Amino acid sequence: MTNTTAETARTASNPETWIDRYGDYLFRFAISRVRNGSVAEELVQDTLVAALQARERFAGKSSERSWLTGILKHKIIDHFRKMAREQPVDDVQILNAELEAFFDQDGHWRADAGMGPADWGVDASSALQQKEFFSALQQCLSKLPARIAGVFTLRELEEQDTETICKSLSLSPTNVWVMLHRARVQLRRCLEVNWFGQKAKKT
Amino acid sequence: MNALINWIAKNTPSCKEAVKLASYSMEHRLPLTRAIQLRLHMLICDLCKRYLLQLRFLRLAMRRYSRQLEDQASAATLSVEARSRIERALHS
Repeated sequence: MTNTTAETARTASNPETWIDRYGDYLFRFAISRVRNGSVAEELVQDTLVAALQARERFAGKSSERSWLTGILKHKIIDHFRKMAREQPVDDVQILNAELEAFFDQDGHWRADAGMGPADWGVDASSALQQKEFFSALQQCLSKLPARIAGVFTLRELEEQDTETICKSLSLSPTNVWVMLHRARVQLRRCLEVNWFGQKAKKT
Repeated sequence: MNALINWIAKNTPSCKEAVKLASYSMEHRLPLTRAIQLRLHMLICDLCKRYLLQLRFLRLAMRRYSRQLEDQASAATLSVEARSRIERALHS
């Protein structure tokens, strides 16, 4: 859906048409970040309501879709912040518990148990050409606990730096790096088992 | 040669520590000593070397994924119920 110059030049269009024009796009965007259909629906609703109230301020500088997406991104961050603060947990403790599956007492990989990083083969990059790979990635992302998924999403999908993430979600830098580490440990392993699994050779 | 490897093993982080550094390095420049320690560790540890490469692959995959999401004419759509709810909210 491209935006014509006519659309960018004028003020916000009739809000009655927003759901039809942008509803599904906003929904897809929200789902890709929060991975939960009902939360995504809520966020889209909040976005359109907020946009309705703010439409006088839409100066037409960007496209309408970008403007709405911008509002949605703020709503998503609010959601992540809420999730991050809801259950105060000791991430470091949880991290160490999760790492036990991968490392022995001396901090070595449990390679004999098949928990060490496998060889993904030279054509790992060819995975990026395959639609099924991204389905597998999506599946793995949805397995992440909501709190760390939010941080990981802001970092890797929105490409925000850690300082911004700390401010947006009111987290300390230590929190953020522990959560990113947890997310990566789990995601990497999930992909290894669910995508590269067949090709992985035991070390 | 063995003596060198033993020295490296004794004086560089464990794999468990190395992967923490590797993850940290995805956001920040490691302090010089840490950077050297990680490098040395990966010199003798193929598994950790793989781990870091896989983290980089993961980042690349996420970037592609992000672009895909915006482009694709995917199946995900707002449900009929959601649409009615939103319409009502906009009219209230």
